[in-house]
Amino acid sequence: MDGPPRAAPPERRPHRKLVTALLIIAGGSFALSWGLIPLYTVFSRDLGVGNAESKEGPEAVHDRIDASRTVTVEFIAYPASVGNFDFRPQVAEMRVHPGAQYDVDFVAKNRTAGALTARAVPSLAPQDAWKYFHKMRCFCFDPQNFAVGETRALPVRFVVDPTLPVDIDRLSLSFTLYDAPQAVAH
Amino acid sequence: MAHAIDTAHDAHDAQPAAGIKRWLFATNHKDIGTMYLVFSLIMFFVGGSMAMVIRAELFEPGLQFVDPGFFNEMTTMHALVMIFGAVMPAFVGLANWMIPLQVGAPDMALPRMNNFSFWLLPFAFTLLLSTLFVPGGAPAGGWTMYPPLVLQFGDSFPMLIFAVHLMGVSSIMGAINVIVTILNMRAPGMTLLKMPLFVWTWLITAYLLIAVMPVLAGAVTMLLTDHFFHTSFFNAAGGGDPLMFEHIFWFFGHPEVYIMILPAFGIISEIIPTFSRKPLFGATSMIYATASIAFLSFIVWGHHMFVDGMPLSAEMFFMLSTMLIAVPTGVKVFNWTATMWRGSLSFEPPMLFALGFLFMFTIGGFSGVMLAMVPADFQYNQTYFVVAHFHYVLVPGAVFAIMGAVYYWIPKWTGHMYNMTLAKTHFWLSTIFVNVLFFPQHFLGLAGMPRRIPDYAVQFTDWNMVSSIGGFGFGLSQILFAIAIIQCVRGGRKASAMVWNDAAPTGLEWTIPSPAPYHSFTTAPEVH
Ligand code: HEM
Ligand SMILES: [Cu+2]
Repeated sequence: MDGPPRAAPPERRPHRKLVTALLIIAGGSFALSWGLIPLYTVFSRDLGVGNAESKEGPEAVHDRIDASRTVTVEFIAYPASVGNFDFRPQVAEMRVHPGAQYDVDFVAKNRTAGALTARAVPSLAPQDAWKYFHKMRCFCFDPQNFAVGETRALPVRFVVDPTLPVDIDRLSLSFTLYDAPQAVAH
Repeated sequence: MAHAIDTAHDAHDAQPAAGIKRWLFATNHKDIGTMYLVFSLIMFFVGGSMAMVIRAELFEPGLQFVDPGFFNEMTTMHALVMIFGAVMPAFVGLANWMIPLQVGAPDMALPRMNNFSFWLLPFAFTLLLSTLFVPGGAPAGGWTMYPPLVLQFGDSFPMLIFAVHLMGVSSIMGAINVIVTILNMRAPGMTLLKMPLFVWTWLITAYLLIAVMPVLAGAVTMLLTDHFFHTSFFNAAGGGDPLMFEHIFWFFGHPEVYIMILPAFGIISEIIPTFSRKPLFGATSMIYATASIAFLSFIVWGHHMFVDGMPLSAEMFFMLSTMLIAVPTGVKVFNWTATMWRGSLSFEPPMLFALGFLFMFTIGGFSGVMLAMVPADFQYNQTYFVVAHFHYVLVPGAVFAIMGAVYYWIPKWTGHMYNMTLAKTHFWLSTIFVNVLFFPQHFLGLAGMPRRIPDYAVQFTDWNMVSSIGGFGFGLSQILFAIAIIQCVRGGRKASAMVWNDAAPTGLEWTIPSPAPYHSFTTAPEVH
């Protein structure tokens, strides 16, 4: 070793500029992660993926009832927050004619010791059938309030479109019930 | 007065400070490198014991030792500890030790920041590991932290997020240090193209790190606000979408897997030429291959989400771009093989690990290409086939490369040769058991056994038993690794400056004595 080593190593080139540039890259990618959210919304709207609910516009009801055809609609209920709700459909399935209007009830019970607000998110299988399944009214349109221990029926009114492709004879409608304390129920 | 203090400080710095202060206030790249490597070894054993719990439970169908919740905590923590605690810090430790020595710099460019990057890690992992003792237990939803599941954990949730933030800050600072050292501190004459491949691959890895670690930080911050501030980034009830988390996570996650393999490529590119006594075949193409892998790693994240809902066009795009990665990877494997072609090979422990890497990493690459095919992945996804794939690339891949690097450079660090027989035994036992451990998992996956479950259908019993036996064998073999290292630190045959004399390795690190003096290259070497 020649000469005593220095406390700080000699800078062969100034570091400050490079460090600043690198910090800007890191900051930029942090910003990118948040920017991905609006991007994702745009992409999924344009490509028709993601939250299927948001794509559903108001559609005309078909008044033509196809009595020659029967489609089975199954009902499934998922309580998302463990233990907060009992949640189930009143009937497991229904056999329906396309074009006709039907009502079905789901039942939810608040099992916690406090009031709860919940919000249901629907899903339908097979996914391609969404555009043939019309919800005329649905408890999933609004947040739902539950008092302590309250049990309530949650109604859905629906019509299966007569143009439903013939190879589909069974639909599964499911709802997942989420705690939504921030939502305001009407 | 001020002057007196200054000289005292200087004198102090010439030799390592005494006791704990040497480590707490370390700014010397060798000390910090050592701390990273020791930390990584400890985490390797911590994460390894979790794996032993997993394999013990899976030895037989039914629930024997742990309840399913704890089992899930083990799989989640095992992955987090191994990825962020063992593999990544090991590479950073190697970078700290070797990059200044390989580019002829006196130290890392930003020594104080270096100290800070290291010391964040013990805090991060104390925080993470202490979740095992909080009400509700440790995170148990998988290392990928998918919402809504991850939001349902108790006190462990904010601790997990904060630990991930700390690890992220540590890696970003470490990466900045590496880049600045490489770009600003090279000895005169050390042009970019003359840099050793370990330095090159680390340079590219460091850019990957600063590009994607902040994305992970952003994603987990959104989880945090969803949980505590009622935002709805990933909450369907509030108009968000949990699928979006997966996109953001894997936008980080896939480059992350390359962060764990590119420095390994660099290590292999150092070891194979030395013990083949030939220069690396196609050295420049290696650099381009590394850079293209790094670039491609940003556009393939969707291959982790083929079954999660995606338009057909996107599935095609991610499938083809993923397969494209096999091309530069193939270039590398070809170049390593060509380097050995007609070389005069010898099989010291580092070379054995490099060869093990070459064969077994390639197996993992093949299963990766199988997984990249959309219709095939519909079948393989969430099965043990995926587990087999990523363990082949990570254990006999990344981990073997790290072990090879330790066996290659440790005489330079300690000044002693280690016990060759012990190291070779360690290699052979590890190689046999790692295959006994992971190869059967391909069969289990193809037969449909799901991953992340504590119990399974009886038809999977036989291969699970085999795999568990391999697991215990592999785990126990690693004790030999620890013994070899400890012995080599404490004494042994004196290592020469070149260490591997009859192979005459090239590179600046072999021009200084062994052990490397506490301060090296205080005057820059001349590179021609
Ligand atoms: C030829 C190169 C590779 C290809 C084509 C490839 C492809 C894939 C694909 C398609 C998956 C998703 C499988 C599924 O979830 O169904 C996957 C998972 C994974 N790969 Fe690779 N891979 C390659 C190399 C690597 C390397 C080098 C590493 C790390 C060193 C790696 C680590 C992983 C990990 C950790 C996962 C699983 C992540 C998880 O779900 O927890 N892969 N790979
Ligand atoms: Cu990937």
